[in-house]
Amino acid sequence: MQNNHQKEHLYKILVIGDLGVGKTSIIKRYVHHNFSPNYRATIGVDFALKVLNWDQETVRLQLWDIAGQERFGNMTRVYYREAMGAFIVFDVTRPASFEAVTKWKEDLDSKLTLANGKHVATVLLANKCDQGRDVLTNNGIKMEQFCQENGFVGWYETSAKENINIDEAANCLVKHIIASENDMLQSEVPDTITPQLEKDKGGTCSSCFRSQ
Amino acid sequence: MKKSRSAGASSPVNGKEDWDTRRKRKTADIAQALSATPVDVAALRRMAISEGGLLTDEIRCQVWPRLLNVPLSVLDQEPETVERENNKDYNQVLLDVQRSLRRFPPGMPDEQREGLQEELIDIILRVLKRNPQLHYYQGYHDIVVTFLLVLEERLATALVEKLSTHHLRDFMDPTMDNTKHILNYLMPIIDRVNPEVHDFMQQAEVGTVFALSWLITWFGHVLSDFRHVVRLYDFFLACHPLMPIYFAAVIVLYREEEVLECECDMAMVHHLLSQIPQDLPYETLISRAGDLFVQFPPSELAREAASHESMASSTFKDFDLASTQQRPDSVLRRRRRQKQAALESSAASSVVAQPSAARRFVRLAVMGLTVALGAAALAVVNTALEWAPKLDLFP
Repeated sequence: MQNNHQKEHLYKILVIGDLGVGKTSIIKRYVHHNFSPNYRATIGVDFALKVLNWDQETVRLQLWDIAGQERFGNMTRVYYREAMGAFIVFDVTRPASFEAVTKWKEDLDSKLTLANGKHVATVLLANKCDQGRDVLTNNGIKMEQFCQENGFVGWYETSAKENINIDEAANCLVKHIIASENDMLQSEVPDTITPQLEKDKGGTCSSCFRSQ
Repeated sequence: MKKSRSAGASSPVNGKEDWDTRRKRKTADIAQALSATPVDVAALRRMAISEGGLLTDEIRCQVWPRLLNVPLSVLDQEPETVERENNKDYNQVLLDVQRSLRRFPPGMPDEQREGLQEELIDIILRVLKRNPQLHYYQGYHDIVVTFLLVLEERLATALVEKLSTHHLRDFMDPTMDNTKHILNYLMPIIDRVNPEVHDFMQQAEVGTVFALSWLITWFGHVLSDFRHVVRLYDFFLACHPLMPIYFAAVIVLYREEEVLECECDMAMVHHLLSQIPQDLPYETLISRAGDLFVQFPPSELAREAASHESMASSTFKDFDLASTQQRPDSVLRRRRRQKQAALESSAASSVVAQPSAARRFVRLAVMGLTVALGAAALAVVNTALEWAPKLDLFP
């Protein structure tokens, strides 16, 4: 985050969710533009860097691929530090992985709070949407309600395999990260009215919600 | 054995032909150790560690069970069937095994591979069912597949079960606390050899999770060439259960220039270190790991690493006891060999005994020996292994 002639942002983003939901595949698709059905299980933590041009500024995204198995949770905790945003991923073909979403969200919020006391921006990804759709994702309205109730800033049906909605989801997350960063900068000055990005105004970023 | 050592020492630059000769002699030596009554397990351990390891999968089939003290009579037993329905581990094991395609040889027909994947699931579930105190971890399947690709199912099951209750025991606790504790040995080892690299890594706050998959899969998860994986398994099966962490340290130290040139930032250093180079000089690194183990045994690092006792080390003592009991004359043989080894490596062993202040210099001396006198350095490793299980590991 050096201030050279051009402004640069560095954001750390966590990618979490149950094992085998496609976290690694999503990152590989987003960063390396490819897909393999043969990715191995992630043990511990992996890391990838994505550089974006954002309104004439450079945004560097550090994507941290966190192992899905619960027993690694205690070891990966340290990698949550200073994260600004997160993707929580589930597999539309495995209802159990969706049921775990709230657990991952609660865990994330318990480990991580922004300087202004708010939770980090989190986008929910319903991955493997190319492999048929579970009832859960067929009802967009319910998903939006789920997101609002659980503090997600948006959700996307994604497919790392078919490259569906990966860029869109990332852009949505970056937008919210930048908004919360501005929010924090402003909140450092006392008696300033800060723009709200709260869940009761879930429609703030309507573009983040896919119209079904 | 003695002959091969002096041959190695007298010609530090060994041509291909020379290795072929040594390879043939080693094959004969292994056959001899296997046919001795009782089987000369100590000699087999040395073979597994020394240059080239156990050479072929055919030899591994015969030697690996000996190294783990698994009787070949397990071949007479039908493997028990395991219920998959309502098995708490099945879903997770299935997901991991499905994602283990890269661990199978590229040319293997799909049908054969799928059959082996089914066996892989069975072995894992069988061991877990028989040992309810053990907990599955992601990466365990990488260990099991290595055995399954070398041995047939029944032997693979028996060896994996033995390993799981000994070398891997710590990783299979309900939590990863003991695994974390073992990872804590990494930085003290690096510090002894290259404090600059140690300080740099501390400053970057990189932690040790980059080495987690190395440790709990014995590098099976990260190395793409199966020959390298089994070569390391030869080494680790013959050694103290903490040897993989010494090998991890050796890899970091081998890359010291890259590390120091890296941006001093957690993400960048983690990224660099977790991408393991595929062209590592394995024989040299194995030898170095042995050197480090001799110079900085776990007992010396234990206090720094943490206060908890490591289960693997303590169970390893029992295990070693069990495997020596089958050979009542092992103590005598060991003493005889130690004398021999001491003669052959007097230079190396005398520097090893220096006080810790001289340690960094000592490292260079032993490293130098490793290159110039491979056989002598190897004797140091062997000597260490002879007494390693006797060490009071956690005073």
